[in-house]
Order: sequence, then C-alpha cells, then structure tokens
Amino acid sequence: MKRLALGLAAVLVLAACGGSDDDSGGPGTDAAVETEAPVETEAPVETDAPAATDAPETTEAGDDAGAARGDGVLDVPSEFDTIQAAVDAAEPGDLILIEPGTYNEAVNVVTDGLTIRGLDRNEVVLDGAFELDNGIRVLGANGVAVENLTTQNYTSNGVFWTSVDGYRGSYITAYRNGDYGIYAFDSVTGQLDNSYASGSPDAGFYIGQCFPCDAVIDRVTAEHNGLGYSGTNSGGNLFIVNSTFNNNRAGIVPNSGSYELCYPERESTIVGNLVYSNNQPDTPAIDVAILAMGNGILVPGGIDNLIVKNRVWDHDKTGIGLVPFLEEGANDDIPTPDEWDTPCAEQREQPPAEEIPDTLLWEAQFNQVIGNVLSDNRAGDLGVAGVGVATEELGNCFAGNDFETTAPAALETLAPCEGEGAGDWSVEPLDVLSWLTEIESRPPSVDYQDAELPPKPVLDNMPDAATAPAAPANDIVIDVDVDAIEVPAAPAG
Amino acid sequence: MRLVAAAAAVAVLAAACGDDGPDESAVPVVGAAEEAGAAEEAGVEDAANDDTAGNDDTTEAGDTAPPTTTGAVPPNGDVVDVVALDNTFRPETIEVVAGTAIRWENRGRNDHNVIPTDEAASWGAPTEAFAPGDEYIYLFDTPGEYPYYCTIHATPEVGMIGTVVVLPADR
Repeated sequence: MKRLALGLAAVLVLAACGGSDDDSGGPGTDAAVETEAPVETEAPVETDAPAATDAPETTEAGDDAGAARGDGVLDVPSEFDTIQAAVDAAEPGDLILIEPGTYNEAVNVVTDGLTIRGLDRNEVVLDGAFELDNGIRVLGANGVAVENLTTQNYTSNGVFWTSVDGYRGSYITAYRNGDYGIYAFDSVTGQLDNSYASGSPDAGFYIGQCFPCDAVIDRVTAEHNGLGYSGTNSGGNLFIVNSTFNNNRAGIVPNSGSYELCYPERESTIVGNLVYSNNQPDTPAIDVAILAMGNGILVPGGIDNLIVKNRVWDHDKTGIGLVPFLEEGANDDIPTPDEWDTPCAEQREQPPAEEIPDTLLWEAQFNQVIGNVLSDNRAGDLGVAGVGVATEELGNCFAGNDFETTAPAALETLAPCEGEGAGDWSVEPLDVLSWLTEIESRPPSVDYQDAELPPKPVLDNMPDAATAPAAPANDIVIDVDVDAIEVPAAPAG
Repeated sequence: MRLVAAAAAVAVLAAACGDDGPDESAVPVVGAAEEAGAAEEAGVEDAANDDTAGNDDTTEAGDTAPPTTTGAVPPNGDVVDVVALDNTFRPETIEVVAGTAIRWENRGRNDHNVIPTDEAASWGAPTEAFAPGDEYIYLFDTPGEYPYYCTIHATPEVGMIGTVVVLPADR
C-alpha cells in the first residue's frame, strides 16, 4: 500500500525561447556558486599527484591486499582488480583512479575522505546489470567525493550517500537506475554538480532528510525521470541552481512527509534553473511523480522556500505551484511552527506523537516566488492552493514574475511580497483536488529497465582527471550569491 | 497490503492471543504499542501445525520448515511494532521480553528489507517481501540481541540499522 496522495498547485508563465546553451550534461549557465569542485571552465589544477599511468608497480597481479602504492593513488584495475578492492585498501585522503571499462560492481564506501574518480566519465561505467542495488554507496563515511564516471542499470541508486557530513558528486552520469539517480540522504555539507540523471522512477537528484542541509545542486541535468529533483524534508542553506530539469513527469518537487524524518521541508532556494516540458508520459514513475505530473516546480507542503529567477515553460499543470501534500498513513503529527527550526539531528531523536492522525495535510506556507519567467503552463503559470487552510492565509507571496496566467487570478495582486494584498481569491482558483481524481487516468509507470530514454549522452569530462589531485569533500563551502544569478536563457530551438 | 508473516509465528501467536498474556506492566516494551490480540489484526490466525517458535525460526509466509524449540519460551501474545521509514527503522532499538513478536511494517515509499546481521540466522524479510505497505512478523522467544539492517540502505554497522533486544521472560 503506498500511502501517498497529494495535493498540488498551479502557476503562470511567460517564457522565452532564445539563446542557446550547451547541450552537455551540465548545461551551464554561469554559476555563482563557491565550490571546491572542479568546474568545467576552470583551469587545470596544479597538482603534485602523479598521473595514473605513472603509478609504480608494487604488487603481483591480483594481489590487491598489497597493492597500495603508498602514493595515495590506487589504480583500478591495474593495481586493484575491482573498485571495491581499492576502496577497501584506501586510507582517508586517497584517490581511487578508475580506468575505462565496465565494472559490474556495487561499491560500498565506509572510509572517510576518499576521492573516487573515473579517468573518463563516459567510458568508466559501473553497471548493475539490473541485479546489483547501488553503484556507489557511501555509508557514514564523511568527505567522500565521486567524480567523472557513469553508473547505470542498478536496481536502487546510481550513487548514494547516507548519514555523512561532507559529500560531493561531480561529472557523474546516472542512467536507468531503479530508484534514484544521485541520492544524498540524511547527509549534510554536500555538493552535486555537472552531473546528469535520466531514467529513475523516483528522482534524478535527491537531497533529503536534512536540516540544515548546507548543500548545493549546481549545473546538473535531469530528464526522463519520475521527478527531476526531489527533496523530502530537506532545506536550510540548500540551493538548487543553474540546472536543467526537462521532460520528467514533474520537474523540481521538494515536499514534506512523515515517511522520512526531519519534516517539514523548508528553506530551500531554487534559482536560475531551466524547467520545461515536465509532462513526460513514458517514464518510470513512483506514485508521487504520477500525481505531480505536468508541473514544473511544485512545492507540496513545503515551507519558507525561495523560488527565484527560474525559466519555466510548457507544463500541463502549473509552472510554479504551491500546493498541499495529503499524506495517508502518517507516522507522526505535523510539527508546529515553533518546531520548524529544530535541527534534524535533534528532531530525529524525538519520539513520534502519542496520537498520530491517519492522514496529514501538509500545507505549502510562507514561500516566496519572485522574478521567474513563465509561459505556457496550462493550469496557471503561477498557482497556489490550500485545502485545510484558506489559500489566502498560507502566507505565500508572488512578485516580479513574468507570466501570463495565475490560479487564482491576479495572484501577484492578491499576495504580493511587500505590502498588503487585495482582490478576490475565489476567482479562477487552482483546483488541486481534481488532480487526485486524475491520477487514475494518467499514464502508468514504465518499468525502468524498459523505459524509452534518450540515448545516453556523451558528456563533458572533468578537467584533468588523470592528473588532478584527490579532492575529498572535506571543506565544502555553500556560499551561493543568489543576486548574481540571472534568469537563464532558453535553449535554442 | 501484503503481510509477510511466518506461519509458525502466526500460529503460535494466535494460540496465545487469548487471556493468557503476561501482566503488561511487567513487560518492559519500549517505544511501540503493545497489543494484546494484535496478532489477529496482523493476520495471525492459523493455529494449526505449530506450537512453538524457536529462536531463528523463519517466520516468512509459506515457510513450512518445522520450528525448533531449543531454549524457547512460549509466546506471550504481544506484538510490538517497528516502522521502516525511508531510510530509518523507528525505533532503532527495541527492547522486549522473550515470547514477544516484532512486527515490522514498511511505511516508507521505497523498498526495504529486514536482514539479520547474523548471516546464519534464518529470520528476516527480503526486499521482494517488504515493499511499501508490507509487514513482516517474527517471534523472538530466546533472550539475546538481534541486530539487523536493510541491505539496500545500510551496512550492518551504518545506515538503516536496528536491534531487537530480547530480555528474559521472567524479568
């Protein structure tokens, strides 16, 4: 029994299809993110680390246990037959350097501070063959960076961090994985950049169960997933910026729910993204993705989010929608506003309420939608709806957007971000309840193994993969200058 | 909702779900509802063909292997709940007396499993039997610590892990 249902929202738009963008995995608008990770346009990093091909010969073939060279670089497969063997032999600060090839492995990482890097993003392929669960799974190991490789055909996730402080995923391609593409759960201080995810029934990219998350998603592309981005119960210094979410069932969907800890979702910042055509009917999709289908940026039950300067167009429902999330089979009661600032680490230690309602209605509240450019979103470029609480009492605001339609009508007059609103909230409201009935008629999920996807793209490599030094995620700094980010130009065509 | 419960445990629990349960005040169950009669709610109703549930008896539906009885105490009729969220067992550690059944329910959106850390143990719920909405029940009839984890979201030490602490029944 899946216990999700939902609510949702609507929006408005006005968009433009203009300038071109690169068509690589990390469509790059100009990032304004401080990052420790290499960036496509950055110059090669000076390094003392030897190139992989310069590795000293240390062991007999197959003698993985004694293969470590002592230079902090562990080569696969020339020194270690498998990635797992190299990871197991590595010490904090080491670099695991993987040569082109297909690796049928599910790699577990429990050592802090490793850098796991492919020499060629497109030719270093971890393949789960629809049998293995996670391509690379980092469990409680802080500061692990994964770079420049492809994970595909895993039954669960392409790359997965859980319960860590410090993580980074750069130049990763996650393709046709059975749950998430790139997945950071219960983890803080992280960065996902220049990566691509396609063909996952849940989300291409996910950051969840963290507050404050202290994390950024920058210059990624998600297409043909159930959700482009999902962030359940995440937020707090969390940024989704400069990225492209297209042709998923739904685009960017942060939400609240008691099926994970650290509720509610709050304080995420979504800036400078291209979000378009998220109506894709033939993707793998979890139930929420089917329910949210046709929305660009949808905030089911999220609180105090900032949605700014995104370009959003071509959606059957809303461009940007703030809607309730109806959760059946709840596991706790909804926190009161005075509990919203409780850090995740503290909240998770608290027992659930003694009396738990069967159903929770998470309302979207106090979100700010400012300066976005929207068009051709058929249920409203901008939209907002309350179900348990009158829509006008939810404290959401809209200002400075370039749009054609809203639901309710005249939304920026009804709910400005400065000053008092005025008008009639009953005019052309967003009918989110009808979405619940429509779900039965929407295209069902397609098995992730069989879904028709765009061909796996050949994407940019990280700079100097062979020579750049290890770059563990020990010092991730999240410092996004929102003011410096502009509305991205639409791609050519 | 699918119920993955062991025929053996089911039968035992059903047999014990009358008025013969222990004094509830003497059962130091932590963190979950203690439900006399909950066995029936969980579909525990077939009392045929077992009378005990030994340690490490597999409790999956359809398992017809006869239970062992070494050191086992009789079931006390109590069923204590552990919820599998995404990706946390809640409560992570549960303390019960021997003879108590633990009922896990996957109340997350994702697949999980319940796998004993002790690879020799025969209890547990595989992924295909523990999808969202599924339940799994196992009767713990011998004192000890029973760590377990979800292999998808944890190693035995880190991530989605849990422990059942089974105390002697006479505590």
